[in-house]
Amino acid sequence: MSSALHWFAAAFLVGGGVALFRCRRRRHRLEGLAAMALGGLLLTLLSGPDRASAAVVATLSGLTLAGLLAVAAAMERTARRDAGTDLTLDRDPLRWP
Amino acid sequence: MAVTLAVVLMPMLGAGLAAVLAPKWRPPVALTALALTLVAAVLLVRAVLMDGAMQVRLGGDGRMIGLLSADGLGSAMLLLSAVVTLAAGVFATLQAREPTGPRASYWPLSLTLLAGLHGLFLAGDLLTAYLMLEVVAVAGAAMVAWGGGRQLLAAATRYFYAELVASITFLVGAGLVWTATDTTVIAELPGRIGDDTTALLGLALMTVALLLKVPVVPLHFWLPAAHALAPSAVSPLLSGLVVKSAFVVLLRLWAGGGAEVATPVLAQLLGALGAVAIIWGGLLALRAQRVKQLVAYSTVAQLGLLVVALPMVLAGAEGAWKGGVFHAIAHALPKAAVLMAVGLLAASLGGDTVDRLEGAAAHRPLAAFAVGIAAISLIGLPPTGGFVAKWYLVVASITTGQWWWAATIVLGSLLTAAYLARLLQRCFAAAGENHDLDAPSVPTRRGIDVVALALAASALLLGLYPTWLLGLLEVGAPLEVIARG
Repeated sequence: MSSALHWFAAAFLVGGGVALFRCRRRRHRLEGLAAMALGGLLLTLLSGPDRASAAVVATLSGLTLAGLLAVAAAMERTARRDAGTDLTLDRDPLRWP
Repeated sequence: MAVTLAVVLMPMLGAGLAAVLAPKWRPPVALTALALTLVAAVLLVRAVLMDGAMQVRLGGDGRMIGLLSADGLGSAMLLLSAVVTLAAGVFATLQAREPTGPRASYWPLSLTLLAGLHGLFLAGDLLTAYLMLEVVAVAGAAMVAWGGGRQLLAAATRYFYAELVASITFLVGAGLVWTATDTTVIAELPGRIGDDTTALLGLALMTVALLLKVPVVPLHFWLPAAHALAPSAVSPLLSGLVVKSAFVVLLRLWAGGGAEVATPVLAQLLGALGAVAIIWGGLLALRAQRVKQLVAYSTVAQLGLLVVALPMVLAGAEGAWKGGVFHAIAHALPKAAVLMAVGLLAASLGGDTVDRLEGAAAHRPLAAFAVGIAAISLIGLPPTGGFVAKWYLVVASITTGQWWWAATIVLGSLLTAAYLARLLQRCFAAAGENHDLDAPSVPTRRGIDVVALALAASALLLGLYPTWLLGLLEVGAPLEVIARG
């Protein structure tokens, strides 16, 4: 892989991470998270020196990430059911009125 | 080998059983699993002390899919986590029939968390570390969320997203290091990273991810709310253990492959992040109005002390390695004790602000006493474990010619004394005229205070008998690698 692709991946991850805490709608947050996870997974799959090992690792990591996304979606759903609106994550909950 | 696997499999099996059993059977089954895990952890520490570091390769047909490495660092952290989780389990059991008590999901989640922590402390390769970081993240966030309510769910979701961002970043970093070095085994990294851009970027990404997970200022935004709002049986696990797990991976990574690329400037930069955390966390703790918020900011500051050890470790100081890990352990025990005790005091007095604790010692003398003993260790006064850790770090800073870290550690101790004195002053003061003793309070069993007191006393014992732990931390320590770097 080219060095430019590495730097692109790094910028993608940092940008996605920041956006995650700025988006006010849960759908946007989950989409951002899914994109980050997919990017990370593809990079791992492409970067492994041994194709067979990379496939095993990508499968394990993929299943783990899918599980994590399901947990995130469940937490967002619970919060929405609790108060009727999406969570706002850009402010510290300790400072809520 | 069997005992290395047992410390991970035992809590995993216990979690599975606790998840399928009827709620009334969960506490006894979970406590049995926690007790057996503690026994296995003690046996592992004994084996490491007698036979040296051990490795278990997971996978068949010559293809390794994971590596567990039981050295002094891993086994010491593992023993700590087994002790604190068992104490939290006893605490939760005694709370079980009370309104603030844990839900049935506490048991499988706490055992899953313990399995993840043990896997992480033993992780000898980057991919095992990644998978275990995920297990710890899911279990930790779910435990924060259990209390329900919008504020707690927001805190848990912020925590979970921060962990997810860190995990994905770590995964990509691990992938890049794998590409460049042909290995994911941490002990094989020295000599392979060199000046390869891909490997360096991978190392940088993993470092940022772990600094977010520890967390270090300015990446600490998710911690205060998650730790302050979590239930009393959960906060000790988060503040005492979960944050240390990322530090252990960070230490292994930099004391291994990172040592050869760590320039003095980079090492000082890492230390500076720790110093900022010590001062910033201390100042915020001084200003905090809510008790658990004060303790959460205190955690931010104390975590900074762990990171301050890194530049001295990278300068080859054995004392910094021992002092840093000793501090991770010596901080976990009193911090868990304080979080349990202030939870009980706040419940008894019907409020969670520092001012509300006025006269708390008269209500619950054992809990207030636990806060007092724990405070001595957190400040770093003799004869506690906190003193031993800070002594080693201060000596290491002087022997490596980095005296400014000694000054930072002393300043941090003064700040710790200031914010804990504020808490203790309220606890041991006579109840004032404005103190409303008729305010609604939550009844809790008095015997539960003993759990907090036992944890606080263990920090004292660690200071009185530190030799065995200091000896354990020498086993498998990568100090030759650091010296070469």
